[in-house]
Amino acid sequence: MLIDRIDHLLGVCERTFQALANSCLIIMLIGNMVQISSRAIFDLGISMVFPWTVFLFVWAIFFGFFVLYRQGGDITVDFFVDRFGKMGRTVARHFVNFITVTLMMVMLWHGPQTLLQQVGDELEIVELDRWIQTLPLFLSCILVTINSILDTAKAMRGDPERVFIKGLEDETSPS
Amino acid sequence: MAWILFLGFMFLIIMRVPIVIAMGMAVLTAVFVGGFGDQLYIVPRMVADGVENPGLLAVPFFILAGNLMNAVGMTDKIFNFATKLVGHFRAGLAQVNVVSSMIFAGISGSAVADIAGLGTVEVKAMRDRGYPVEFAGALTVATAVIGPIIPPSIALVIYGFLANTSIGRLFLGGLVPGFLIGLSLMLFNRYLATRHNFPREPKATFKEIRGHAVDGFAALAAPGIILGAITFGFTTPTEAGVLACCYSILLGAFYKTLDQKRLWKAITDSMRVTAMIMMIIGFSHGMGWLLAIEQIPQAMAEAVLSVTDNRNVFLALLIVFLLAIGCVIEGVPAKLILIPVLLPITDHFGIDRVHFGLIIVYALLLGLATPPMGVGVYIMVGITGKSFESLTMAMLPFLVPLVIVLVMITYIPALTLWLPNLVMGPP
Repeated sequence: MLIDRIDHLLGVCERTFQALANSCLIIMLIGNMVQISSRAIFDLGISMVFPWTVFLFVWAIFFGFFVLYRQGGDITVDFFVDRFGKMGRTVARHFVNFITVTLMMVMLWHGPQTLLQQVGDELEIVELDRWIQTLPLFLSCILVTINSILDTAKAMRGDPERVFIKGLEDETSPS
Repeated sequence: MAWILFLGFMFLIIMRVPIVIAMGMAVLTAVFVGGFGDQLYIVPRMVADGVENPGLLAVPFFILAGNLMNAVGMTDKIFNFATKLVGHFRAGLAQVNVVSSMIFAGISGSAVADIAGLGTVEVKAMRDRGYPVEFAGALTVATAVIGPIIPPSIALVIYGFLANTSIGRLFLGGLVPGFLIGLSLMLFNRYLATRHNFPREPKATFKEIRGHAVDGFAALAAPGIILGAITFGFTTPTEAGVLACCYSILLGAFYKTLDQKRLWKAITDSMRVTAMIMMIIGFSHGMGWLLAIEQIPQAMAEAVLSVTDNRNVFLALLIVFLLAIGCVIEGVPAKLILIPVLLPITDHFGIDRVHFGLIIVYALLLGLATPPMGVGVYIMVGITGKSFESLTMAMLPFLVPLVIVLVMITYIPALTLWLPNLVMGPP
């Protein structure tokens, strides 16, 4: 089925983005540890650590944005919708997907304009154009859009929602 | 426009829209309805600008430090240490719950991490000793509010960035209120113990306490490292977070409990939570722009001052307002909406920004334990399997000591300002 194939591809993207976001955090951690050690031992700061930390921080968040949605990690409030039973949950699922796609489409529609405004705007020390820093945001927006459309298709096919424990816990089986 | 922003956000939240998307959509709608439909490009631009924020670099590291401590298994060691220390008090395990959270608060800056990490251990131990599960769950949520008050604190880092206030002063300012919250909950447990005849644990021998003290002090060293490094200017708050992470990894190596899989999971969890917080902040950047254009902070200040020019009356109104808002909006977006609006007013009344920071962070934190947006209660539903309603009912009595401490913090500024002024001098 096309739905399952797209779902599989999104799963690959999820793992890739997760690895990229995690790698950014690891490099930030190591870079700053080297910075602290260098300052403590040699009384010598490393000027490139801070701007690269900021750059990687932004990348980590933008890559993590898709992972957050793919893994259902954002906070939701269920008490109201749950009062309307299965029908309420189905309607809310479609509504959430519609709102998500709308927001993402607006973001993507204006994405090229945002990126073009950043061309030639070079980040100090990092020596990369600012648009490179922002690019993962729009990549995530594309994937979040596809994920939401896919979830709508899954809902129409009768697939159950993926269920997650609120907060920081692992994914649990919907059954 | 401000009403569209606020009500739109509320409506979307109630309709189960995830918080980040709800914030983004509310801003987008307000921009559109406010007559800026041809300037929607500001939304992605604001997100990009809002996320690129060096002032918030410490956030992922403090989250990671807490998750690493969980992965290392420090939660079990802290719990065991606290059991030996205060388990023999009346309502022993309930007191252990409070003390464990106070120690864990010095490692983690997040109440949610406290509930997810310590919660399972605490609730299981209390259930096995015959405490009602609802009571154990409610107490665990109540004690978790200590997490973001005792440093390090992600909430205080965000406040410090929004209010342009020293993170070091805010962290020091949180120490006394954090201990006060713990003390009030312990006294309340003592009171409940006499009514419900909760069991005590056997008194530990000096040798047993000493045996577990090494683990306890290993955990207690973390806040010392963080506070010392920031207060005495050795590191920035971001680097202090890095030090806390490295310390946690070293502990994992020492105890041989941190394998590659656990490390990766801790990093993954941290990245996910960081992405959520920072994307909310990114979208709220557009909201700040809207509030500034509409001159909402000034209008709000005028409205409040037309009601009262008495500082004490204002403070009373403030805490009632914050408690009400905390019930319906999650802490991070609530702070992002309210701090820019309220700061001109608190400045007018001469309320110190560190003092105000502790008031707003703590008052909004209580929303963790109150319906309908009680995230802490939701997590506890997952841990205990009890209903949201039954846990909420069990939670209500604990709000009494928590609110009393809020009133004390609000009306006795010395509780928050004495320590930062003593250590770092007057501002």
